[in-house]
Amino acid sequence: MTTEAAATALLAAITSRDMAATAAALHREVRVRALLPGQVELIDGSPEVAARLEAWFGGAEPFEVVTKEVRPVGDKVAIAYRFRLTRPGADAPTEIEQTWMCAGTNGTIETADVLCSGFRPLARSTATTHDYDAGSLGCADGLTAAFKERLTGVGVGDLLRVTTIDPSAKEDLPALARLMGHTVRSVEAHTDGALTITVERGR
Amino acid sequence: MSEKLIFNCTNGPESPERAILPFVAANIAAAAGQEAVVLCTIEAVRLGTEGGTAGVESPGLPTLTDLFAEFIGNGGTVWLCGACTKPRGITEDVVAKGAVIVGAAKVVEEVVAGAKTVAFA
Repeated sequence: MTTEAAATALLAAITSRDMAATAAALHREVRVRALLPGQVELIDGSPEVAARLEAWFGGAEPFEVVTKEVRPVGDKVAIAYRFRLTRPGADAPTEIEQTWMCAGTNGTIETADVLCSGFRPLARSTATTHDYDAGSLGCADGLTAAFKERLTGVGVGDLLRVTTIDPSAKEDLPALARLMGHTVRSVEAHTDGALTITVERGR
Repeated sequence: MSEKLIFNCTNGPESPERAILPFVAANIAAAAGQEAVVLCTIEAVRLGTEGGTAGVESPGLPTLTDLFAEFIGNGGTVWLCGACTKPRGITEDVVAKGAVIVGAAKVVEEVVAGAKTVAFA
């Protein structure tokens, strides 16, 4: 078997969520280096790789394979796929794309570098905007807890528009949003010294 | 990826030597082309106000007024802890040029992204 054939088998196994076949398509001591949002994860061994994929995709319903492809790159083989899925416990669908750069000998995949988009909210043209006046709440006044609570009450993909007059909050809110995995859509300064930050809930 | 060097300063005009030293180190970093920040907490937040460095002097060290200006001129930034400015009645309109009031999340984000911090006793 060639590496390309092994990669093709791996792609078929992952996209059909057959974790036993996924493990079988990899060398028993495969070494995977995955670049995930915010971190690098090292996954050693085919059972561990299969378990990780199961954790990411197992149980998702609905689960749709949007795209998949295999392409040789010199002596390596790239496989890529995009899924649209709703994970257990999630209230909205997400999209994820992963690309594996596979290498090996004797028809087995011994190493792979994986690039992952993370579970991205689908673009919604009808996102709901929720307003929150944080007033003068600041760093030591409970701003973090209040902001987090407000965002939890907003659907994934919806917007929370926060207005603040606290000077530290003007710097902190965008940073807090990013640290929590959300996206700052806009920052608007007002003539009265207030600031409005619009955040899209990311997860 | 953050390449900031964050120098913490916790002392204000009541302890001139402790107030000036972080700025000495930060200014060296800034002059060397590094992205340098002095994070002022507790009484040090007073140093980031207009006129806040007046009279802050210690034998053998530059005056803080001169040093502060040189640091900003070298591209340095001064962050004033929001939790410390608020109870001291320090508002944005009295903050000195080159200084800005920030909260902990701003600092945390930089550290998570790889910024290095230097603590002075």
